[in-house]
Amino acid sequence: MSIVKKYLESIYGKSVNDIFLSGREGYWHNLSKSENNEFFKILEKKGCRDAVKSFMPKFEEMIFSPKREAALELFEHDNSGVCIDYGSMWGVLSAGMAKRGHQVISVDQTHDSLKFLKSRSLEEGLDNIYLVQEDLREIKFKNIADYAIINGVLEWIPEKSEVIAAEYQKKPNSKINLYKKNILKDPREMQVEFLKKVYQSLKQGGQLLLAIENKLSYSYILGRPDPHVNLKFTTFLPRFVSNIISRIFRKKDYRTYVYSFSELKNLLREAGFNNIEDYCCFPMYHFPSLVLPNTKQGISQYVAYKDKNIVTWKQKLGLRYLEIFLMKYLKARNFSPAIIMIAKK
Amino acid sequence: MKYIKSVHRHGSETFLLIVKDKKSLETKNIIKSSTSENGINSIKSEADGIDWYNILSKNKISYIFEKKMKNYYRIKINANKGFYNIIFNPNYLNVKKYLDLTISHYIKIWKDYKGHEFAPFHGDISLIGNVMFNKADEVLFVDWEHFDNNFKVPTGLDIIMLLLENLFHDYNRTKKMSDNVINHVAISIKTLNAAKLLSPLLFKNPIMSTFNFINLNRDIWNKQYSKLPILKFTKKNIEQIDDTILKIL
Repeated sequence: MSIVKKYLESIYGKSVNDIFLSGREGYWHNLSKSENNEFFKILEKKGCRDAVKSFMPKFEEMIFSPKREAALELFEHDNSGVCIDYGSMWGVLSAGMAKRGHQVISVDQTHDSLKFLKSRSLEEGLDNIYLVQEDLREIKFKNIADYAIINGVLEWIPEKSEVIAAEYQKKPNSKINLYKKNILKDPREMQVEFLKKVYQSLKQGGQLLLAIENKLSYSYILGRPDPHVNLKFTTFLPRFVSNIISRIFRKKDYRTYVYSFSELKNLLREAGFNNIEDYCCFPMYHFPSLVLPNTKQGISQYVAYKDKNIVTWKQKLGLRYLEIFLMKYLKARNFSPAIIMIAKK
Repeated sequence: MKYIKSVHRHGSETFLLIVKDKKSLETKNIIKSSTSENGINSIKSEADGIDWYNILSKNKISYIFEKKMKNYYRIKINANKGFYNIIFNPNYLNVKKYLDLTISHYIKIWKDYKGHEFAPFHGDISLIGNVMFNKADEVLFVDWEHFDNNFKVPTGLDIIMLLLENLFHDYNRTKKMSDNVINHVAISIKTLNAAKLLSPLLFKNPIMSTFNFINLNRDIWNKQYSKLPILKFTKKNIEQIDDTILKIL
């Protein structure tokens, strides 16, 4: 039996259908529960990719594209080790690390995501992925991991209600935040606590890959809505102002905090990390095309790249050319769209 | 300083990382990696191409496989000191010297294939990035991920494609076919022919033959097929170039 499996059994007991269960479940998904039920009926008849293609083609690239693995190349992969993918969802990065020869622990609060990842691992012949259903805020791993991944997850840590991504941005579906406010801690405090637990899960010398939107991204300053709550300017306004805006338009508190480069570094330092490399990511961490060190020399390597989401002239003028001007000529790296950090324990 | 320069660019399915000296910003290593089948095949081709090239080239390229696994390949190529890329220049006549140097180098490296109908294929000999020069006007062919030594590719095709790429940039800039430029293309093909490195398959109407070969063998270029400059020329353009070449040949 592998060491990882033994370790997980020591925490969670025997797995059920190859998923270790903590008893703490939640729901964060792009599909509703009923949509997921329908999807799994199709998945039983077809393979993962075909099922995704027929049921939710718009997510095919998001789920399967190896382009999404780019940031994993920032890790040193000299030795095979143990990797914990926090908030693994459909498992594109878990699969990426497994392909690179590591033992991967994929942790997610949503059982449906893990069920999908189980089918995917079987289909792709990846027998080095271990699935854990757990509330990320409650993890208890200690000195087990050589690598940790937090990709688009940190900002959701303070959000305890169920999230169906598309609905979350539209409707006030999580009144828990407003009315049970007293039971929820400050979002930043919750994020630091989570990062401390991630720090503890790493071995000495272990590396964390953290990817998140930059709150000062030029596109948010220009009025592109905060992708988490679909509200303009909330990423960078003072938190209490964002909170008022969110209470008016979303009937809930603003909790999905994102950060600037320096703020995020401070967060990581508070959690115990001291060796931190930060990178400017273009056009977004979900599908990186260009990842440059956040230094003068780093940003001097900026080159224009193809972004298939930029099609119209308005987008070209407002985003592509502006980005080229800001990065190539003004070297305004602190306004880059997304942040990737590699932090070592 | 390490950074990710491109991700699956032009459908290559590889990640391209560059390692530079922090102070001088001189490139130290080029790292390519992939977890997809096509990407892994590209990396294997890269190594095969470099091995083939190193036998004949004065300047060798050194590399190591950092990872060679079932689902993951990672190759680290050391940059050759003193070699540089020229800056993109759409004016054909401004890069004429570099085209001549590249053709001479091709003739040296492919010398064993004189008179052969088919020859090993670099697949992307382009002044933009894949041909490097040094102060002594030596040439280095890099980026061998399209290398093919099995498929029957007509000898000289690499050079015709190089010439057409630069002709296309010039045409795109001026919106006309300059006589000086077409003459240089024709003379270059004549040079190739004189060196017996123009396949008989390309001798008659070299540009149209190249066009037809590419169209019949799209798989060689995979997803990059649609980006090939020759496909952007009209039939009339192609005939015009071929006519001039025929006069000179």
